[in-house]
Amino acid sequence: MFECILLDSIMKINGERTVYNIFHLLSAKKSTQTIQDSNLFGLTNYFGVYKPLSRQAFNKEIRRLNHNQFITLNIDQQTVHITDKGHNYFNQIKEEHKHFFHLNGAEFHQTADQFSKHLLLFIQTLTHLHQKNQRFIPIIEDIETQQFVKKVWNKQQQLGTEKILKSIYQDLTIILETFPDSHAGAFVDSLTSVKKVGLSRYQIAKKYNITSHNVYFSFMNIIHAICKAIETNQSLTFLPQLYPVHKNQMLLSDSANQTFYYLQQGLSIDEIANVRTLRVNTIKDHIVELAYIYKTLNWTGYMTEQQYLLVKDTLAKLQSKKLKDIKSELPESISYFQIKLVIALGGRENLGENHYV
Amino acid sequence: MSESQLEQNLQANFGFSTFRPGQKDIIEAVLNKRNVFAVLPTGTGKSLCYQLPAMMLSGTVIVVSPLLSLMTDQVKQLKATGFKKVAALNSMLSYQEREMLLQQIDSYKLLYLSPEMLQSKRIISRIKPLKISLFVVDEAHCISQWGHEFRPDYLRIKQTHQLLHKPPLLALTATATPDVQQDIIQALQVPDVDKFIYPMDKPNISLVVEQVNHVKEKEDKLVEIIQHYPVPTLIYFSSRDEAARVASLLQAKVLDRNIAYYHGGLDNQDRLLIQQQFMNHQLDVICCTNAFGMGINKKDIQLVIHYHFPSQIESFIQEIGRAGRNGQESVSVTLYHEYDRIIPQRLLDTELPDIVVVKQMLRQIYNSDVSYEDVKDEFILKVNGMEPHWRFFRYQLEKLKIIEHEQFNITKISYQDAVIALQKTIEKRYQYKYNKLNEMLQWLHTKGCRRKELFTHFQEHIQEPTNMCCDYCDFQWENWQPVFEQSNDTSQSWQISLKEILYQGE
Repeated sequence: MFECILLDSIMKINGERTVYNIFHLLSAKKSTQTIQDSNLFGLTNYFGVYKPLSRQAFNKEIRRLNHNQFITLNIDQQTVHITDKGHNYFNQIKEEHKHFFHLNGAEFHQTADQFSKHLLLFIQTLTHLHQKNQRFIPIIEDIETQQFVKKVWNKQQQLGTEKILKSIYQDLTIILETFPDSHAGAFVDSLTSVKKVGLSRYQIAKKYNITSHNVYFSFMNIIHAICKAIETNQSLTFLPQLYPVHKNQMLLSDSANQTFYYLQQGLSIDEIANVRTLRVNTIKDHIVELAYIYKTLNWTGYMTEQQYLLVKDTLAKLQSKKLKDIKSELPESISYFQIKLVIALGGRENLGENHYV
Repeated sequence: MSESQLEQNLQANFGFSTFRPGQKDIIEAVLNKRNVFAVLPTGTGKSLCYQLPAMMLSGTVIVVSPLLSLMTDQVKQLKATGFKKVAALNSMLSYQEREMLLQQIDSYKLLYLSPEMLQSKRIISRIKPLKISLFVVDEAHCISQWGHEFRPDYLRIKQTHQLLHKPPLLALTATATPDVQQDIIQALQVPDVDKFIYPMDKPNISLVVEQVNHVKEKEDKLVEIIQHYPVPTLIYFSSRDEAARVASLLQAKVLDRNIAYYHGGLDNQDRLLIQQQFMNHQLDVICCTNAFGMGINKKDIQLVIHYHFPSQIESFIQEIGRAGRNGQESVSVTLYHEYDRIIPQRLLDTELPDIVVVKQMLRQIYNSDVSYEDVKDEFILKVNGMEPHWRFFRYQLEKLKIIEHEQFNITKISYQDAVIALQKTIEKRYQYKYNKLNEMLQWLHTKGCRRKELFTHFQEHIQEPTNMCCDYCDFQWENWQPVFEQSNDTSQSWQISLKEILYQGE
């Protein structure tokens, strides 16, 4: 899966950004740049789907793809292109995955993480309590998770452990049956109960003969599937209780969010820059970021309708997403900001969200 | 406090009916507000000597310990037994976690601190108003310059203890030669100390060294031992890669045993899972580096193998001490190859900062107007981020009064003299470390009783072994017949596994 995601990203970025943009995308560096790019290149699904990824491991994977001639490293050593061989390979593995691919980073990059911790700790806790065993070392160390699980238990305990166990069993079975056995198996192996401590990532990798990256992805993929099922009110009975209180999940940097607040107060770009002691260009970047989310953003203060249409037409004609190319096709008077804004506002329809599922 | 009352407390809090040797005397002295210095070997329940008083005394017990993982493990274990008024304050906490902890600091009965935390004025000011019933210095050998792991930060413990108006003090260590013991007591500067020194040797562990002539032979021997003795086993390595490599070799060759590796390079979650699997009998063998074991409270380990030996006898004794905690017959095997000495030698050579770097930095301090922070950053950069090197340098400069309150003062000593002093210290330290390594090597080459030789630096009298003594005296593999306990690991479909995990009958 990791390969598939990397190749897909490389293909869509097409050498117009460095590979580190992909790294930032997967590990969820929530910067304005990363978010804009993920929108621009139609990669929002991959946002934050691999937070524990280290730069080292990422580099190693890129080197491996290069070694296998799936990609070529450009002279700058920073950008890459996919090769024909890589393209074929991608099509082949994409076919294998497409029936059970659920990763949706834009929607779940925060929720999925929290939910998975809740689930793991709750199952450990529940099975211990079922066996009247109050003393155990929690498998998830973070205090927020522990408090959440405690709260859920306090609220639900009148159902009794037997009933809750049954519900969780049914819920998980419904979900897991839609996955290949190896994925479901790896998922079940990572659960910890009173009888059995879950396997670590490298042990699962060995058992199923997959890379430890893919152990992470196959687990997270199933977690995303559960999140989706919960969000769309499918007939899960207990797992929704473990779902984190839904926060504002929009793919928006905190800084852009603040700018949004001032915009709503009616401040101009210059005024916001002043108040926030930020550069004007930074504020403009925030506005572009906001435009991706709020398609109804009022852009009339930033360009005329004529300018808007001109940029839009040019975008439709040009294949490249390189701003420089676009800018050179347009009159001098159109700024980069204006171009980016039009892309953001119409981005989805113009550039399509062609994910591989 | 009457005798039975202490035992009742032990039973109520830990579920044991009797104390292990040493514990009771130490605890009684502690409860009588005596200053105590105790040497108790690994695996004999050192930590209980302050944990039980923490539950019994009013006020807070403070424990200074340099071993972060040990601290967090103990906190987890205590919480799991139902004692929740315990916390660890160390650099692993996030800002929020630390704030939360500091805000409710008066609600803890047992508070672990890393020595670095003692440097924070803010933390000291929060601790100062507490009623401190006992001040514990764990791993007290770290305070001795001639202890095998001297930590400059430990010297501040004395100041902190005085700052907190000298509550009763308990200094504990598992390894200290008589010289080091003397040094510790002197460094802590507490009058009138009760000393409890218990022997380090464990009569239930047999000591075996197997000399091999090439690497292949070492691997074969290891495979053979693991095949023959399906008891809970630890295998120590000096490198992460080797631990992982040999683990997969063993997995391939010994199919009926569950084998994993463990080292500091694994992420937190994986480390926790591996430890728990071992505790839970899902794993029989762990190939590990010295990162494993400190917090492990597993009683049924019966075999400790050193695939690589450590660089000093103290570590070796601690590591083999993880076996046989219930007094059952256990074996320590060291597989020794002539060239193995190169590994600890290489490790030793990087333990202190390079004298070239030291000189460069000193010159900068003397010749230009650099700030403390700049020197710190540059130094750490130059030594590839090795913090301990910086701490060593800082401590030496503080001793020479070149650093005072994080400011440089070059009027106290000339550049030349400073260089000479540092050079001397570094040489002396290396000499000391090399001597330690030589002791270890000498032991491996002992031509007499290994037990006598191993403990001769620590104690005069050696206890009578309860089983076979060593390969020199009487050890024979065929005479070791431990009770086998097969771990259960069945491979089955996920549907059945899930049913089992969630208690769904057929």
